[in-house]
Amino acid sequence: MVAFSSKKGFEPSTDLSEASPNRMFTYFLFHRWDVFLDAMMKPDEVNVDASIASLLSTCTDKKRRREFYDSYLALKDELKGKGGDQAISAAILTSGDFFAYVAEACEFTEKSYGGFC
Amino acid sequence: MLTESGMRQTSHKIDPFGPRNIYNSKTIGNLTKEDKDRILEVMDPWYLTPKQCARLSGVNLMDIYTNKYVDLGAKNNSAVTRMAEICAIIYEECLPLPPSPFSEFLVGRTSGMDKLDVSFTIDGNKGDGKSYSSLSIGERFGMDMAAINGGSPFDYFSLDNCALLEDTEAITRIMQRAKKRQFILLDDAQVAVGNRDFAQQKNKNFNRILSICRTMRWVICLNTQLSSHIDLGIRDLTDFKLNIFKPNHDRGFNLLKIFSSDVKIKFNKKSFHEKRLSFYDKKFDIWCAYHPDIFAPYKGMAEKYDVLRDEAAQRIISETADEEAEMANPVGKREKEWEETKKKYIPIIRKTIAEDGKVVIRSIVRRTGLHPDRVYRLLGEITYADTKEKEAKAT
Repeated sequence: MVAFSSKKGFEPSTDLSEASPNRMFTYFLFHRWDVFLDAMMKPDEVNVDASIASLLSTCTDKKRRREFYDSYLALKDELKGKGGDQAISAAILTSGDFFAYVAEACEFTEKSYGGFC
Repeated sequence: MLTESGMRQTSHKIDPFGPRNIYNSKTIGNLTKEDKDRILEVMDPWYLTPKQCARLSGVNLMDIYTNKYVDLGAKNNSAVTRMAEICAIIYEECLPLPPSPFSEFLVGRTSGMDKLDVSFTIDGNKGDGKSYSSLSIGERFGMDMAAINGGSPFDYFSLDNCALLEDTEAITRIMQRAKKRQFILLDDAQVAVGNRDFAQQKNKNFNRILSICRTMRWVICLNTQLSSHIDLGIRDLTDFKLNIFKPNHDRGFNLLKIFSSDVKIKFNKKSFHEKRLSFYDKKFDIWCAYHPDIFAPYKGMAEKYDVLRDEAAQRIISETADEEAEMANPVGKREKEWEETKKKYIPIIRKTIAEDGKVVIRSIVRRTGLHPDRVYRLLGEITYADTKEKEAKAT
């Protein structure tokens, strides 16, 4: 069992190599998102554009990766003049979209189907 | 049903057993305009009650007909409620029946190129509706088979194919009569092939039929309260295991779960894997089996079936009572044996006496192989019979 906590990350005592590739990728994504959200809390210390780009780099679909980044830029422009830090808001919202895509692609939510006998 | 003012009628009543179209994969493309309009009418939020709308939570009824399955959303308890509500709406509003992937699978398997057959068990608690669900599956199979391969639905499933509380001999007689590609329903199969009769000749015979007679392309349905009540050898050979998950008798349907039973042997260890059936790349969690009277050609079959089952139950009770009485005081059996002995040996004894000219016990024992005590008893019977005959002549 791979143990993960938002504060500590992966526990060093656990053997990640025993997990399946899917599970490893999932934990890796969660970890990256955790790091990204931490970074967003310290906007003065980090480059927001680079942070979202690094998060989106984990997207395995090349086309979708580019689309997400473009949507981030578009959202940043759209939010201009609406108060707050547009870059951070746009980055967090894009990360949400990205994770909705990941949840669908990785089938985090199992769907149910019914039929007639 | 909407009133002229556009408000929903609160007390509309539609006969669920009224005429309705039953579609399969081939005919669903030709969904009639009346059926389309009816489905759209039912989907109107004004038509359904707020409770029904809430339970449906955005499921489009039309999608069920085009997709041939119901997308229930996230796999959770609400999915079951959604499925139940959809089944109830289709039943109560007399909507056409969507295609059945399971039934078409059975049809494909029994009428395809490969010489395959299907056998499955249906288990559930007493009164859950195992028999009605299996009748419904059989009827749907008959209708789909007739629609796809031609002929009458009764060519593929009728009451003649149902074995109700029968023993193995009666079941084999039904199978002897059954033609190819028929649905055979063995209700309360544990009576005939129970696990308590393990390794008995009758179970071995049935096992042989099940394993070798696949070229007959039958669909064999074994009904039982617990699938473990059926002999393990027979249970291992079944392809699916159906379970009555949620009975909804008052709303005209049962919710079932279907698992394909896969037996794997690895390192000399047998392991069972129960997988959900998947069609169209989707794993199906819940299945709906309607009341058997919903299929117009078979209307009234359930009633006849109930009568036959009552008769079968009465027969089983009386047979069991006779057996119990015989076990407690086995007079009948002993008397029967004695009558057979008399019938067999008295002529031989008479012949021996006539040849010897007198009664020689040793000679009779040698001829008949009976114990002297029995010979004396038989001689007594002969003397008694002769005396009676003489008296009758004298009078």
